[in-house]
Amino acid sequence: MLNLLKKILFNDLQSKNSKNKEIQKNQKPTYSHIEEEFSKCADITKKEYPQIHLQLMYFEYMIAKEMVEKVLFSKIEKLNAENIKSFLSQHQFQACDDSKEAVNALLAGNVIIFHQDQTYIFAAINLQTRAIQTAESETIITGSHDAFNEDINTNLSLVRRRVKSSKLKVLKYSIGKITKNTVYILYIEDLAKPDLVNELKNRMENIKVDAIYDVNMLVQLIEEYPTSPFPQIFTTERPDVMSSKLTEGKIIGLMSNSPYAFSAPATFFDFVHSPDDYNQRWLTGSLIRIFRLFAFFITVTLTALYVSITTFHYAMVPELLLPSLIKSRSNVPFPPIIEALIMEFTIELLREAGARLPTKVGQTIGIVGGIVIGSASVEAGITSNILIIFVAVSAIASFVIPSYVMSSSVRIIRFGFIIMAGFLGNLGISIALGFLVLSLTSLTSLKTPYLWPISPTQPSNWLDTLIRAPLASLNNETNTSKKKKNSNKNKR
Amino acid sequence: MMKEKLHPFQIAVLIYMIQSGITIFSLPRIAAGAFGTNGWIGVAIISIIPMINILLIALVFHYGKGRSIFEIFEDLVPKVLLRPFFLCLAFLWCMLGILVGKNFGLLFKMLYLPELSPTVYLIFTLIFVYFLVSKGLYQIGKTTIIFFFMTIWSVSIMALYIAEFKLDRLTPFIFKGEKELLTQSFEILNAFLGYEIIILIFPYILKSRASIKAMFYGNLFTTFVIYVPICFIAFGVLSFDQLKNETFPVLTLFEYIEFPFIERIESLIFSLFSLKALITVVMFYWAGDQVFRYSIPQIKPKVSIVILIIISFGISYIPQFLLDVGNWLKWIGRIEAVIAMLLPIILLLIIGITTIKRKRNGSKNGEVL
Repeated sequence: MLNLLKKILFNDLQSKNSKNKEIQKNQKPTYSHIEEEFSKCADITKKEYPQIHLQLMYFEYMIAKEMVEKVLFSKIEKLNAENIKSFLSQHQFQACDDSKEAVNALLAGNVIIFHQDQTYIFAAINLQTRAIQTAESETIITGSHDAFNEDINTNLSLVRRRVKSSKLKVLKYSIGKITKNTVYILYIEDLAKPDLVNELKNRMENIKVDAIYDVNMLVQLIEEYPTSPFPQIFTTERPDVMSSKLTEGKIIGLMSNSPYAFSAPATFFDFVHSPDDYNQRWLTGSLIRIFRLFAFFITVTLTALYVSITTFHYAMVPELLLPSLIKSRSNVPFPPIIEALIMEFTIELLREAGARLPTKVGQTIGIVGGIVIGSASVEAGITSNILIIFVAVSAIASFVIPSYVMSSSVRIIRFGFIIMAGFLGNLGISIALGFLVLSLTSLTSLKTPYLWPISPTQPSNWLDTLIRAPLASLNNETNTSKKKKNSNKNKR
Repeated sequence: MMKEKLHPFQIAVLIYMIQSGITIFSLPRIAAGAFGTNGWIGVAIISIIPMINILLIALVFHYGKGRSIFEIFEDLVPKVLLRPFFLCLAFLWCMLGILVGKNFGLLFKMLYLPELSPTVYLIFTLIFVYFLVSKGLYQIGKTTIIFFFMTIWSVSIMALYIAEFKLDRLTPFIFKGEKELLTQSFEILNAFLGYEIIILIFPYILKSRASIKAMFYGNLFTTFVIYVPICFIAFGVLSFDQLKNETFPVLTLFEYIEFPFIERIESLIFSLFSLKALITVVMFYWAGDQVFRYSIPQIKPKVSIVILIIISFGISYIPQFLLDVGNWLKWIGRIEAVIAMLLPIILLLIIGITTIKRKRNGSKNGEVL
């Protein structure tokens, strides 16, 4: 009993101590405080000038060394007790009265200057970043090729240079108790619905995590249905796509250290569209969009259909095709469901291995996989060659979907279709389709139905959803200009 | 927060999806049995009955000012009497729902999958029912639209029969040959049933002319885009005797369609129609759940549907074979047809009586004043 009491007391005291140690907000920053905060940090650089009572603290690898040397260090060395105050009163030295602010500035790559009881921040950030490169996961043939990189300011500039409007508003958040990532939420005032902006603001403010590393992680924290297999917030590494989302009235988000951006609300169709659809002729764009939707259905049902036909509905195979199917199946000792699951599993392994390995080794995997899946497995009597065609077409169809996240989700759910087809044949596929539709229609993204404008139905928007109508017929006017027109009409 | 309302398009599609089920596959046979030669015209004639019925429902919606049927009933009938009545209605609708499901399961077993256990199919159906009914009518509406697009294309396959179609097969005789007009007509009417459930959706639709029009469009779509053209094609492709002897003439038609890679697609289309059957089942359960919750207001929304599912699932074990299920469906369908007709008439009478009462009370008060 006494021990337990001691334990409780001891824990209490310990937590109290740790609370005391933590730097409090609005606490005046002092050299000793900050030094204590960064104790055991071997990478921090401290400089002292005792004759003028000046101390500096910074991370050497995060600052612009040449500039700091020229503007700060060389000048400090010439200072004396009389002119130090006038030197520090220059505009590049920002006075700081908050310890937390000083710590954050230091972590961001600034130089912190302590003089007597005053603290200043000297902006010297120079983080090494990757140059603007082409998008790797969302390549397009026509249109701009630049992609976001890990520097949030570069990303912001990529958007700003495309949307030159004072109505483009930017909100700033810091996410992650430890990682402290900067997140910018961007929207065009008058185009984005204020209630949606407020909803997203609420969700951002309610994120409570220690660490976060990428936008694709962040969106999982602000989705309505985190357990669903389908992504509900659209992510991309393309600034042109994000700019178009902004002009559609959507809200976008950028995060430091992530080459991805997100846009919300998103519908299912956002994930199957590509900027190429707009850059090509409308007929080509429309047909490609229809192909992609077909590809979605092919991915989820084709292998399942093979299993269903070869297990229960042989009558569906035309007479001319039947002998070759039976011949190829006759050597296979497994039921079609096992055969299909083995093949799909192997394809998934190959894809995963190919994605993780360096390009040169990846090619080897492709060749080895091609031989294993292509001929060896058929010759060994493990699978039928007709199944290989089905599995290959189904895999190719899955890669037609431009969004990698969506494509991965679709590939996973097709296993459910195969199992249902193996047990209940065509009826199983229909039931699985029913559940797929149920799960898709149940989803909302930032309060917007996931399958809009198909369900709930708004045929006027189908021109830019199912197909890509000629640009002139698409609604290119913004709501604001429409409002103005309407109000003018009313005035008349 | 404002409740999301059903779009008129959703209302029309919902009516079509509840109405048309697997009866479509046997409809030409029933039409031939009921009316004889050129029975497809009879289908159009029978469709007048649901049209009148929908008109009555629309009048209830209009004169009842969009109020729910419960509120209209309460104007005249005490709750003590209403609750047992709606309780019976809840069980009737749930039984109708589960029997439609079981009938489909047994038919699929008989036609395409002898290994299928109807119980397994029913379990999947009921899981679906639980998720959709517990999420409400708006969710059902959203799902129905997608199912509509996923199934409607299959009807267009019938266009492949234009080459096979011969006017001679229609014969110049109208309504000749052996027929059982009364009993078979009831079966045709059963093919249209389901629309009566819209009497419960008043609180979920906008009080507008478009909503009322949508109710009619739904029925017109079922009649003139689906039932009549399919029957017309069947009468022109299959001979009259063949029509009368085939259990599912429309499936027989599908059997003859051959594509280079696939043939006998009727099993695939019949499977896809399970989605239509599913919506019919879901809507009957939704209706049952609505009236059940009125009868026992203390019950939690998600619990009520579970209770209804368990009870109806238990009872569904009594009819074992397709014939039994068919008989049950026939009789419950007839009761349902009567209810479908009577319910709006009674509601209109109540609205009339309460309006007269109010006017009298108003004039009495006026005299006093």
